[in-house]
Amino acid sequence: MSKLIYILFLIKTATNFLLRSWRSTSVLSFMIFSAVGTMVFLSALATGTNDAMIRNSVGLFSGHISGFNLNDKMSETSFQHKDVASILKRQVINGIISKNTNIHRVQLTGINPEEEKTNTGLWKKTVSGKYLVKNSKGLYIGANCAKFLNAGIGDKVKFTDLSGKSEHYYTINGIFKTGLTAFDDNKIFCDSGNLAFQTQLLNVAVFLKEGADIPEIINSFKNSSANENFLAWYEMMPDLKQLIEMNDISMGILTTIVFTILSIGVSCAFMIFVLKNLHEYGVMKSMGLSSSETVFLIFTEVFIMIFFAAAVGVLFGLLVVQIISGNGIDISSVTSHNKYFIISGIIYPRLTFSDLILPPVMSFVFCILAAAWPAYTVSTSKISKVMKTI
Amino acid sequence: MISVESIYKKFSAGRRKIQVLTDISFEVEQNECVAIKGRSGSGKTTLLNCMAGIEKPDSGKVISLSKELSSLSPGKVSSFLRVNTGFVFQQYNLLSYLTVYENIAFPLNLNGIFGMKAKNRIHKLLDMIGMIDAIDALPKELSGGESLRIAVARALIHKPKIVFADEPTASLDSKTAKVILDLLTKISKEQKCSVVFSTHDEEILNQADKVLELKDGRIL
Repeated sequence: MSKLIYILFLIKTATNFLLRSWRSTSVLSFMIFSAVGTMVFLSALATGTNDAMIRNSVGLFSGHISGFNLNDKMSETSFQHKDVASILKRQVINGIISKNTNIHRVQLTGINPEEEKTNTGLWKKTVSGKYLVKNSKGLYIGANCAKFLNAGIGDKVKFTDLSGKSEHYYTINGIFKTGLTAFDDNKIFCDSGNLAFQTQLLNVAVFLKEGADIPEIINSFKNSSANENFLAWYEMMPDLKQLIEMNDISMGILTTIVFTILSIGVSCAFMIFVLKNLHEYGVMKSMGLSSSETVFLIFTEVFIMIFFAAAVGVLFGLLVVQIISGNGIDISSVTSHNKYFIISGIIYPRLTFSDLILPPVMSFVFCILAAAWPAYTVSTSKISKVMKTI
Repeated sequence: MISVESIYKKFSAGRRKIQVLTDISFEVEQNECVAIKGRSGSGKTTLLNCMAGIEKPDSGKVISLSKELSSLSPGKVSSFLRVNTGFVFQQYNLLSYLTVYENIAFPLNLNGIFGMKAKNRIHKLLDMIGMIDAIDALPKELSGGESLRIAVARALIHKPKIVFADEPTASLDSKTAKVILDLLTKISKEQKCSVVFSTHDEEILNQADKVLELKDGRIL
């Protein structure tokens, strides 16, 4: 009990020290607070940037999960999951498209134009003509494909399946350009009601809610459909996954540099804060305060200050993220020239658990390191030497 | 009680070595008041620091309460200081961020005395030195004389066996200096503790039972 009272006395002394040196305490706390707040916001921005990249990539056509070559008799219940936001079914057939003597190998996909327009951004990539509408008999083809065929809007083209036994004529209704070769060269679309070919093959694009566990959902689809042909977006687009990992690393380096610079400022200020009071520590030691108790006193001061400043910093960062994430940060004016920004150029900062924990932990580590040298100096110096310090 | 046996102390000043104390030997008895007189730079502060255990002599011994101070570990010196000694510094050295009450309570708390026991003792002592009204004041709100009274109270509150005072009256007028030194000697007599103070003020020397004169680091 008496030991506890003694520790409380030291903590109270440290608290008095901080409260009554309120100017120094405020300046240091503000530095820690701003460093932590900035880190929280930057981390949320990095997560939001990754989200925007994924949203723009999966929103073009593929969805978060793609199913290939599925049986077209598959029931809706196979795709039921609480985290599934929407499912787009697509009937596909491979074949040859031709106009006069120009021929080109393509994949014709029968789609529901209204559902596709609601869930994907391909229609935004129309460069000529119009996107498909329900029950239209037109064809929506890639710009490169149109170029190979030397065809334009209103031209008739013939699609022949790979067996060569079935063929059908379509009128080009719209031309798109995504900038992605695989799309612009080989993908052509029509209303599924106007497909005119028998196919048992079905592709699906599954869109998920925020934070869904993709591997778990894929497993559930595989189990319920007895089909293995499901791929997550990061398996279909390994380049995007790599980009996101690189972005994570570069943002990690960037935030570490920002925090290190801020922390050096905090460390220097903290060193001055402790050294300024060396004389008082000397007086306390002359009254019998031991070296270990002096170290305890200094670290308690640091701990109390970091605890409150970092907590306010996290709350401030959280508040800023909450406010900004409502409307997001619109970078459309910067990204409008970029063909890969399909869905939107808005970044919605989002916080993860690590975004909230890492900044205060880092500030704690840096400030403790900053306090270590002055604490060591005070505890190991002779009382008479410390007391000569002003 | 305190036996100083042939102590020597040197300091470095740039490339020079300055001999501050040379072959100092004397004794202080229990309940005795000893004054160390000398001009500035004669080595008074260094001698007091060596006697208190906050500085080690280069050679010789200081035996205080049967303990040779220079042979004690830093932890044991801390324990010795907190229990047995009180120090009144030349510049008072009150802890600037603690109130008068907290400053006086500090040595008591270090000795594990808390609560009503500590409170009663502090109130009684503050009453005795006429500073009860300033109990919640911070050191910056006190005059020189008031600060010295608090420094004296802080040095005596935990009833140490020895009190050291380093030129305590240096920055006070002679009337105030005499009043405060009277207070220090009176309370220390009541508490049966020895007092060793340094001064260059001839007028307060008559307060001491014994006067030692220090010149160029030697006792005359």
